[in-house]
Amino acid sequence: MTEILKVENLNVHFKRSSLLDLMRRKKLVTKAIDAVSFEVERGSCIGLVGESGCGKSTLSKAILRLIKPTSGSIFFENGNIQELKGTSLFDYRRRVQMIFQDPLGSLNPRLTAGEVLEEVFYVHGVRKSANRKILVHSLLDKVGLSRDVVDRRPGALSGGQCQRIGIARALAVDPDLIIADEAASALDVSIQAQILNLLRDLRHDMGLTMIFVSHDLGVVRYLCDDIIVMNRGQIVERGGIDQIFDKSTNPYTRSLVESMPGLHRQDY
Amino acid sequence: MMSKLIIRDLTVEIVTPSGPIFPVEQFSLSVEPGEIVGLVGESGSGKTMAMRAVVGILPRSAHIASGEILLSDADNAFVPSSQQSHLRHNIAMIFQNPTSYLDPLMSVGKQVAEPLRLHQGLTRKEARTEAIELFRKVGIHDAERQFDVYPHHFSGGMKQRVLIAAALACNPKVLIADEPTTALDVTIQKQILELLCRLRDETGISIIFITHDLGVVSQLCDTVSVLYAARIVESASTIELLNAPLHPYSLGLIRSQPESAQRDRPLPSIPGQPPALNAMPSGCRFLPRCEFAIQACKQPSPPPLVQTSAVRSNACLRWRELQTLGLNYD
Amino acid sequence: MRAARLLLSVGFLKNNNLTLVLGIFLSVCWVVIAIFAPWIAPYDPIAQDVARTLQPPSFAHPFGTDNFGRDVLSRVIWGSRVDLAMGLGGVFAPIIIGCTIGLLAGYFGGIIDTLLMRFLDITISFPFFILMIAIISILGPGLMSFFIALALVGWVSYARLVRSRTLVLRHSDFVAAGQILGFSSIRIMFRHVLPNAALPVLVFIMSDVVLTILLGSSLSYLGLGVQPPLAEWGIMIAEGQNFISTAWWITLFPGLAIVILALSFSLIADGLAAQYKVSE
Repeated sequence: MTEILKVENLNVHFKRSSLLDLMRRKKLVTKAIDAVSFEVERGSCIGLVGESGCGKSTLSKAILRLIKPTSGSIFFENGNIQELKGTSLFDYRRRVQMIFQDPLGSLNPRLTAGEVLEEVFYVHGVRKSANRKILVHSLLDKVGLSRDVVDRRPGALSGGQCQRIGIARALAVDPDLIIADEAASALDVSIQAQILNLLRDLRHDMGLTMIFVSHDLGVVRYLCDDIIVMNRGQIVERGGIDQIFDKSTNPYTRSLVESMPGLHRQDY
Repeated sequence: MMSKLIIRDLTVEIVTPSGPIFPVEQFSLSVEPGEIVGLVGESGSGKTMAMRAVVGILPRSAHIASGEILLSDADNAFVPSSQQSHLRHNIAMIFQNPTSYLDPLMSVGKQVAEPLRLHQGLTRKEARTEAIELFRKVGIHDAERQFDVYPHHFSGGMKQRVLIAAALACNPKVLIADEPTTALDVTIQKQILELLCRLRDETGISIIFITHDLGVVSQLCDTVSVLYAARIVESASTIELLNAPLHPYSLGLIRSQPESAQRDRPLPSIPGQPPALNAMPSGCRFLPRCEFAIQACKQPSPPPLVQTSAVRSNACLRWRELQTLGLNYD
Repeated sequence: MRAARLLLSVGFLKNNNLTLVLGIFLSVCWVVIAIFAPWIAPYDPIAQDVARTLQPPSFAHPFGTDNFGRDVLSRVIWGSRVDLAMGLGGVFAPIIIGCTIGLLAGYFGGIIDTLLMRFLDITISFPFFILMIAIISILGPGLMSFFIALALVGWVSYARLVRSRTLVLRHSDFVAAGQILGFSSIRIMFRHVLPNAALPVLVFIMSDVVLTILLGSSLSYLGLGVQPPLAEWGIMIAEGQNFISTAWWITLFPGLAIVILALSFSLIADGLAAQYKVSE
């Protein structure tokens, strides 16, 4: 197994300096990511869990190069992503993708599903409209959507359908690594299971590496091989399913696992 | 002083230009004193709308088309729903997003004390003492100091505690909690659930807990009603429902919980999606997604909720067969 | 009305937006009048007839004649061309400049935002009429000077409006998705951000057209805009005011025309605003 992504001593600090703080001569620094290091093996599925504000979203944004880290580095296949420019950056954009939490918000409300997907192909070099249409159709088949959704705008689609479009859009560029940020938590239970199955199948069929960001330990236990627990910008613990759910001695991990609202059917 | 709440055949209607739609149909529920009842359903299943109807805060476009809401008073006599004020004074509601229900320009303590002054005629000082007492009750530490703090200093979990305190201010008999923990982290969720349990044990208040999370139901609720497409499809005690569901939808929901799934198999998911309110299938509403459907399920009107035992009711035509099939989790 | 019904039928107008329908109907009427002025107008708008000066409304001259014997109806009809051109042409440059500046400032933020917004502050602090008079004194009065002055100053509101919307949209997930997919900033700004900021801008354009027409007529009335003998409503009012006690029709009808044209665009603005609220 080779590692696809390596994060080394990453720090992301946000300066909070409102007028009031300046008057008090205070300079508040929030350490959103505090000395985080880990690596991801090719083809694995990592669960990134923690409560809101623990830095898991900031971390995924840093990996996607949407925000600039304060210090530290992120290597994708041994290349430092901070140093990417021009075509090599464009290539990185093709290989690392994201699936968002809010299915509706991640789609431009003014574009139809077909336009959303076609645009990706257009930007990535498919100039012939007929070819793009064929590619869009095969994508829709892949994520289990019927072809008649192409003419509909997100507002006319259900949450589950929107999320499938979002997944299709990420798959359009044939990525190696997908970061799924709470990809199923905004959906209803019966739809959530469908989306989790889809992600699971896609991962196996396409050999994707996946980072699954979630606060839902149940989902992570089902989907991931390896779990990273974060709290206050730091990695608290990393381990396999058994380690985290059964053998952990870390108090924070334990409190998370114990708060998990499982179905207590054994009481019957 | 405890009260029993009975909701009988409640139907809520919304008149739209393209005809009436019914977000809640023939909703019946009875809540014993001190009981915690779970209402489970997906978004749009009508669980919130039904409870809004009970509290009398339906959106302007919606109204109660039929049904009655009865709440017993101190003498154990039922007061009919025509006496709105009786219901309003004795049923309180808390919501999913506490931030939008707190006035950002008023200290949290005042927001709890104000209704006390208004409804119970307490003086400013009495109200303050009473509010601090309520804060203690809902587990806000250092209540006296926190009284003058403004909402933005509070975390989501603390705000929810404030809302619970405000809801308890007028000594309601029933508390309706509409997904109060959905926006919160799991550790905070656990604390709030424990708080609700403790309040029930201490005060004997009845709680109706709206959620989409069966895990929460299994931790908190005594009984549970499952809603699908505006109708209750199954009501049972929580233990019975989770272990031996008698409606294919309840079964599907339980099966599709990732917590209980085996990693090496696909999650047993329910295919398709819930129908829209203006495009309900005829017959059983779950029919298009149901693996147990037979010809008889296509009857013109949805199958009614029937009593299957003293404490269970079910709206599946085949519940008897499903029972003998001995549904389990694989 | 047919256009309105057509819009209704394609579902553009939900819940019977009567304001919008009426506004569009009136505006379309004005546009038709302006386009077909040579055929609709019964007389030449600048042909003088000394024999028929200051005639009250009659069958031959429904709106009467002015002090040069020109037919007021024909002048009002021909005037619609000038005033519509003034209103629609006057907002054109401000829209382009304002939207671009607003997008750039909102999307990139940081130093670009700071610079552009300070530039905006400077622009606002210029007194408009003095700027206008300065430009006219250089270029001479006329539509062109009017447009240039508006282009220099009028973009400010558009820039602010688009910037505030862009600040919100920049943080939306679909913009992030575009960035992750390697879309260029230009593509994201013009294809993903601007269309989603367009509706409030459209509402503002409609009210801006009204203000521009009123401004243009006022300037013409003051002799700084369009020059006589061209038929323009502001000029007509200015010319007619000496006769207001004896020949009220010279001023009344162009005045009414301004009111109705302004009203029609205001109605569209209100209607769109309501529509916008519905779709939000």
